[in-house]
Amino acid sequence: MSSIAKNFEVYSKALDLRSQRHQVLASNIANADTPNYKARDFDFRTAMQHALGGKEVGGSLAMSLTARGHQQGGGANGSPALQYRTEYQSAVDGNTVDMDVERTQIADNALQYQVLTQLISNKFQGLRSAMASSQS
Amino acid sequence: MSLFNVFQVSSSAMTAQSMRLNAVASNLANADSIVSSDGKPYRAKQVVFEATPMGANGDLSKGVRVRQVVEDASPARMVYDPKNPAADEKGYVAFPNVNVVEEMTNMISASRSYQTNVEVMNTAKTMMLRTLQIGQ
Repeated sequence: MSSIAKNFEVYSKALDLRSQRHQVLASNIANADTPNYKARDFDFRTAMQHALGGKEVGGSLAMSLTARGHQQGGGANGSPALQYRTEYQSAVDGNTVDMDVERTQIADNALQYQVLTQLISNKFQGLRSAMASSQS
Repeated sequence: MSLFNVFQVSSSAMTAQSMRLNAVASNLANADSIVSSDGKPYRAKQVVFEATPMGANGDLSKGVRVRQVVEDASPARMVYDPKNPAADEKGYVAFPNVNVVEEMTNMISASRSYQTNVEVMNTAKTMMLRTLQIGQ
């Protein structure tokens, strides 16, 4: 991997996980009235550690080379391990979605996502100015 | 891009909630219909939600769908009114088993859930727009 691309590896993985987390939280909110639905989420820290360590929770997804001429693939980014949320107040219909929790988590997640996009933009700007200064 | 899944999930929830609102509307409209098309008093209808996997990510995003529309099993409301042509030999008229208070709370819950899903969709949209602005 080139060194420029390496600059963005952490950011792109974090961005990936943030958008996946938004999906999970959106599912929780969508199913706020579904009987027996259990709210789910994943721990961002462990998911990030797994993503950076190159291993997925369900085993490595890297492709094995079994013949000459096979190319080393990066391996697809698997989905992080989902866990069930601890419920604070139980509902009669067995649903564990707590609207306040989900709303705050979604707001937090979206903000973190925007921070990441800003950081990537800044990184690009830094690279651009490094390139420009060598020309003058 | 996985954020597109959020739109699918949220819109499925909005469809389900609007079906619920539809059932509430027909229940309230027929709260006093002592004769429906089959000759018996109208029975309140309730929708049953079910979580369903949505999109390519499988476990990560779960949408909602209406599994079935069930008729309320509670007994009909008996009102003593011997002058009514629909009265039985003891003078009682069977009114629909629509619980107006329950329907009103159902209506508020459906409209709030709908609003929250719209907000989740807007958040996803903002996140995507921020992604498009990277490097500008």
